Amino acid sequence: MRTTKTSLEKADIERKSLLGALPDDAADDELEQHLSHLDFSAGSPVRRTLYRRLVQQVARPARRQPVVVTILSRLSAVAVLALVLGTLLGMLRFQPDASPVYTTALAAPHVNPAATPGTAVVSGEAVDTHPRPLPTPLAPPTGEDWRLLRTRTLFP
Amino acid sequence: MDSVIASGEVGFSQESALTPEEFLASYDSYFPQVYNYICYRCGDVATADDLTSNVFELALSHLNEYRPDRGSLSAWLLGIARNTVSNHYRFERRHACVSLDDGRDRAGGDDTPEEAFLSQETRQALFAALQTLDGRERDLLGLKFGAHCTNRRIAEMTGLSEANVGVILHRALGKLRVLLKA
Repeated sequence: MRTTKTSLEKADIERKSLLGALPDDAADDELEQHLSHLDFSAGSPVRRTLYRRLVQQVARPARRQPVVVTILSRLSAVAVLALVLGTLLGMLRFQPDASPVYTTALAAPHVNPAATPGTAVVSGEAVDTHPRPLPTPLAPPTGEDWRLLRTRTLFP
Repeated sequence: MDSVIASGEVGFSQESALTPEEFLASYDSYFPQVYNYICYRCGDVATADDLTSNVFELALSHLNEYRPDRGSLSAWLLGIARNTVSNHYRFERRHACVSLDDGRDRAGGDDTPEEAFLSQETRQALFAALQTLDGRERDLLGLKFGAHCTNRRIAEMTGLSEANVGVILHRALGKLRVLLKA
C-alpha cells in the first residue's frame, strides 16, 4: 500500500512539474539555479580566436580557378566524351562480312589448289600456319669470347 | 535587419537566406549556448573548444542551407552541435571522463578567490556527477541548462514529446541531487 502511494506521489510530482504547477521550482532549487548560471564560455579564449577566424573566412574572396585550367578541363572532358562516343559508333558500324575472309585450304581447296594442309588462304594469298619453332637461346659466351666481351665492355 | 527577441534569440527575415555578415553579427549571441551545451555533453573543455569551432565553421560554410522558415538559427546551430558531438563520440569511441580543471578555472572569472574556490569545488562535483548520467540525459541537460532551451524546443529538436522531455529532465536532476548530496 505504501509502495503504491509513493508511486502515486512521484507521479503527482512529475505531473505537477510538467503542468507547470511548480514553475518556479528552478528558482528555489539550488542545483537548477546553479546549472542555469553556469557559463563556461565566459573565459574561453576560443571565443575570440574563433570569431577572428570566421571573420577571415568571410573576408577571404572565393578562390577562382584560372581560365586556362577551366578550358583545359572542359576540353579534356569533351575529348573523353568524343572517344567514348566514337568507340560506341565504331562498334555499332562493325560488319563481320566486310572483314577479310579467312578460310583454310582444307575447307576450300578450290580457292588455291596448290595449298597444302596447314596453309591458310587469306584473301587469295597463302599463309603458312605451321607453328614455327622457338628461336634457340643464345649460348653464354665462353672462353675467348667472354674475355673479349669483358675487355670491350670495360675498355671500349 | 536583426531584431533581438525577448528570449534572447536574434531574429532574421524569413524570406531571404542568412548572409555571412549577419551570421557573424549573431555570433556572440549563440556562442555561449553552443559552447555550454557541448561542455555538458563532453565534460572536456579542450574537446569543447575544438567541437565548437567545428560547429561554427561548418555552419558558416553551409550557411546557404539554412532556411529561416524551418526554424531558428539557434535550433539550427544546436542541431549541428548535437550531430558534431555524436559524430565525435562515434568516431573517437571514447566517453568523456576528463576533469574540467581548465573549465573550472575559466568559468566565473569575476569571483573572489574564496567564491571561485567554492565554485570550483561545486563544479567539480557537478561534472563528476554528470559523467554518471547517460548520453540522452546529458544531452537534454545540456540543451536545458547549457543552451537555455525550453522543454518545447527540446522536444522539437530531439523528437521526444514535451512530457517525456520533462520527465527525463526531472529524473536526471533527481539523480544529480542524490549524487551531489552523497
